[in-house]
Amino acid sequence: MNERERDEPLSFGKPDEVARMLGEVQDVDPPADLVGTVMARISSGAAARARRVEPVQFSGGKVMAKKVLWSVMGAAAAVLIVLKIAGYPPKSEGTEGTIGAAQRYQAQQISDADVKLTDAELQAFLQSDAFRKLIADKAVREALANKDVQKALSDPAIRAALASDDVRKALSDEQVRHALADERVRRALADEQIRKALANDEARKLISGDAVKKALSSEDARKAIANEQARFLLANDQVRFLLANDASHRVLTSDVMAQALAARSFADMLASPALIGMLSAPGAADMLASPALIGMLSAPGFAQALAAPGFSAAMAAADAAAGARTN
Amino acid sequence: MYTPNESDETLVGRCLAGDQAAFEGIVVRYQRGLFNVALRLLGSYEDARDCTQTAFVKAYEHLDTFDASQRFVSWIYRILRNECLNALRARRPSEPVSLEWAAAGIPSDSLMAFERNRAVQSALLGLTADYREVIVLRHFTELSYDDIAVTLGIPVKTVKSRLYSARQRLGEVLAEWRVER
Repeated sequence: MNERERDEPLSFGKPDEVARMLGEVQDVDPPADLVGTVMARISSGAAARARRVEPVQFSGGKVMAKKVLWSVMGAAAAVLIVLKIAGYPPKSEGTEGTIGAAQRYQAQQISDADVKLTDAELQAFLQSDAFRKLIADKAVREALANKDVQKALSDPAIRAALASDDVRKALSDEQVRHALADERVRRALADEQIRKALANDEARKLISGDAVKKALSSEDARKAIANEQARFLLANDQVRFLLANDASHRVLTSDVMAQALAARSFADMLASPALIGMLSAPGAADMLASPALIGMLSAPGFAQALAAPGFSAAMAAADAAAGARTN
Repeated sequence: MYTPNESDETLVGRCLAGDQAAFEGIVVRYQRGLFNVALRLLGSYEDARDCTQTAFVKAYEHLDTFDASQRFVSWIYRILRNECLNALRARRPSEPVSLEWAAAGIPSDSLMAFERNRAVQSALLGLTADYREVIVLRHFTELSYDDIAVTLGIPVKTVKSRLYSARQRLGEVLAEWRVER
């Protein structure tokens, strides 16, 4: 470097020059042990949390362990639910005639299944760390309280399909859910050849534009299409029917659907009757988009817990407890 | 275990289900970006290292509060930014900051490049925190204007106007800079 260079101020005065110069600044490598240190801190923190029972300070000055409080609230909710189902407390004499019918109805609800809320497997699941994380998400809580969602997620085919990011993403889309609720769409997508053709980018491109209208009405126009997969789709009666409908046309030619179709378990999921209930359940979209669900799909005990008769009541109790904590 | 093509959402979901190892995928993915942002915001290698580590640990501990409707990248940068602001508040005004790390990756015979790097960092540290953070997030990360807006909790419009003013101010500071003899 000569003397002049060292004396000259660098001309960084203009904003665009500043931007250019900032772009020339190189990244600095992070410390080599950063990943290891973070993971070690996380591990030691997790171990410490497992040993420690965090106290919760109440305004009155009493201290109660968080886990104990949670257990007590859960147990209290379970007892209240069982008592409610059993019709306790009994009504005073003289009122039987007015609410007899209601009492009979309630009595019919009592079964061994109802008291399975204390089933060891369900209890173990409810007390697991994974469940605690799960119920932190209100949308998941609400959706899981729905019987149709429970039934759907109890189906291994649906759980396997939902393990795919692309399938969850597709099912989070309202238009896709609406389309899949249509039996004709499901029937068409159950056909492997149709799925394969729809997953073909060029074929989708050819049938996604306005040109498809001409191809739908003219056999000659269909035959003139060079792409074999597109020709196959347009030669299929049920596909042509769906493509003629704007909504199903949009969904069948969408990228999000094409990506979902590539998941191996997608077709198996379509064959499950339980799917329909889940697609229309309130909160399903939020649940499908929730990261909390992903891990739960393969969590031990999740399917058994869903099938347990007391699961809905437990979810409702958890919801109430969460509401009480936030109030 | 994790694979590089697993999405942030998948890794977060696995962590939430108790699979701690999945978080390593997140740390590996974001360590470079977070560390460099911390370094530019704080100017100190040691402080940047500490804040980056703490940001990751806090992210893990509060993973269940992550709103899935937001992008994970904005969320984790927001945690880091808060951590850096805390570190800046706790720093004594007279505390000297060594910029020797600015020579990292620069050939030893390229004095000019080193000095320029050091000048940029000095100029960044001369900006107010709100100007500095918007410059750093825009020029030292891949974040979009939308992501920066979420990270800083301000409207996109404000991000753009603040960025313009910050660049002008940075230009003024750098224009005064001369290579030291």
